[in-house]
Amino acid sequence: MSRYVWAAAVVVFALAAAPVGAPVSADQGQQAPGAARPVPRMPDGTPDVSGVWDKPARPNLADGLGPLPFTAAGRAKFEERVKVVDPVAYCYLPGSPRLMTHAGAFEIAQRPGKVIMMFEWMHNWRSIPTDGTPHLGEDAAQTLLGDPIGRWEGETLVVDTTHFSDDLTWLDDVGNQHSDALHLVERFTRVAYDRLQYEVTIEDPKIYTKPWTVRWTIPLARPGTELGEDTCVATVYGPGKPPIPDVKPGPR
Amino acid sequence: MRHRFLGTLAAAVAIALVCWPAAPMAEQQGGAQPVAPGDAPIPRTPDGKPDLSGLWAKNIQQDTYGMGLLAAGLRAREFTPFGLTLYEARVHQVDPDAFCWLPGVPRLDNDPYPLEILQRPDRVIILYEFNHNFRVIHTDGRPHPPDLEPSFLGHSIGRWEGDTLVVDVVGFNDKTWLDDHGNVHSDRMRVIERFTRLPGNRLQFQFTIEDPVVYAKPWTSAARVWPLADPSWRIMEYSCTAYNNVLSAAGGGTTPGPHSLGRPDVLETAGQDGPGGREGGAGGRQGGTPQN
Repeated sequence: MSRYVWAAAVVVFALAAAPVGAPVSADQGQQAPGAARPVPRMPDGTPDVSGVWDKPARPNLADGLGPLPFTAAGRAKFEERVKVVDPVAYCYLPGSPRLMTHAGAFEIAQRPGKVIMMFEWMHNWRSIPTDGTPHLGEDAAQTLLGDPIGRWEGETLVVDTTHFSDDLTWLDDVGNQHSDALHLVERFTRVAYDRLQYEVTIEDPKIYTKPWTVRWTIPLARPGTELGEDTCVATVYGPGKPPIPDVKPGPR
Repeated sequence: MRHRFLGTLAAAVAIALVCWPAAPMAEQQGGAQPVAPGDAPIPRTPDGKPDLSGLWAKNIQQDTYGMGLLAAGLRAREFTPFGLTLYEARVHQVDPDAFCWLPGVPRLDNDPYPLEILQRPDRVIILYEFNHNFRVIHTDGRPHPPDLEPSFLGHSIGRWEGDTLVVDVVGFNDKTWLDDHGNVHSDRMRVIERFTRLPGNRLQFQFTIEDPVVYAKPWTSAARVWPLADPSWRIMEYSCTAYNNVLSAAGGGTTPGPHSLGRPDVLETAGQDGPGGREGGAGGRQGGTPQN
């Protein structure tokens, strides 16, 4: 009898201690409190930033920075923004980093060679290769979210994004501006199991005389949080255009 | 005697678990199916499941109900009385996709743009180039939440049946079509999708629709096989409203909207493709061409 109990105890211990060979973050906080758990890692030791995170609102990306170092064209574009409709009113994709500035959940899923980020706002995603894939060529079309590529620098995921459009996206809700020369550098560091440090550098020589950087912390969302669905319904398609008609479901 | 056997067995299991090698997450040989000479084996994750990760060059299927009937050797579509009126009324409606709404499930799987899968131990993520969408399929055993609010893409949970990922999707609204043909559904629809990775870097896909409000009985689509995309392919951006000249001209014509990413060579008139506006994806692909 005692030998059976001993064997069962060994099995229980082994199950608890066995390495799974896969990232640990399958559950979020079902065991120890978030801060006490170690940062999960990929099999090769790279930090695993997978999880559902709860972004705080940051309507003004440059909050706290004081006057931005505008070029003349940059200042004019910033001041002219009050005369144009916010492009998201047309359901244009919001651009990066504006996606990071809206409050609410976002989800990261990571594998060796790839990091995917998913956002509630307009059901957006960014697919970021970390396997050495280079940027799109110079002749590739501009995009609203940009062309992101990633690499690991120690504990930090560095995402480098180019190929933005010139005026179809804003940096944030208050209308901070960028041009198609925007070179966005973001740094994601999982400083604790339940905290993601996010740092973004705006480099855009057409708008700003020098790059500027802001940083904030994003906590892990409550365990079990799933991203909500958001579909954008544009009610305006340009000045003077009528709104889209309602879709009639047919007779019931 | 019995205790000694159990003790030995338990110890053996314990030792095996402690010593299990941490294999890399990507390619790992496995599977017991016979493989044709030259076929790439099915890569597996450390837990032995087929790894569906990758960029898949899926093909279009415009009339999934019709093709499913054909594949099953059947002819007549079988509707409920309400379902028939809903189906016939669709020709008087604008394709909801023309408004750049979320296209719904399984329509996301039926249009020709590539999809990218990233598989983790507790979930399978699918990114869709079509209309820039994503789905999260939970494979951690959680049930559907009891108080689901109707949504365009529903709530997806998945489980493995052998080497097939079976996905159960409920919680739909009634604002989408199933495919380009306009096959319809109600908000009571339940979709069961089956993803099976085959040797030779192929993904087999098939789905079943259960919707007693519209269809007299469940029906199943034809099975399709999608090849893994060329390694030079990347999933591209598709900003529906930015590229959609039909919307910006609200009623047809060739006038682009006040802000337009469209280059002259990719602008389209309302008459060519109907109001769907699917062809607006500027930027093309890195190498390769779409396969149909």
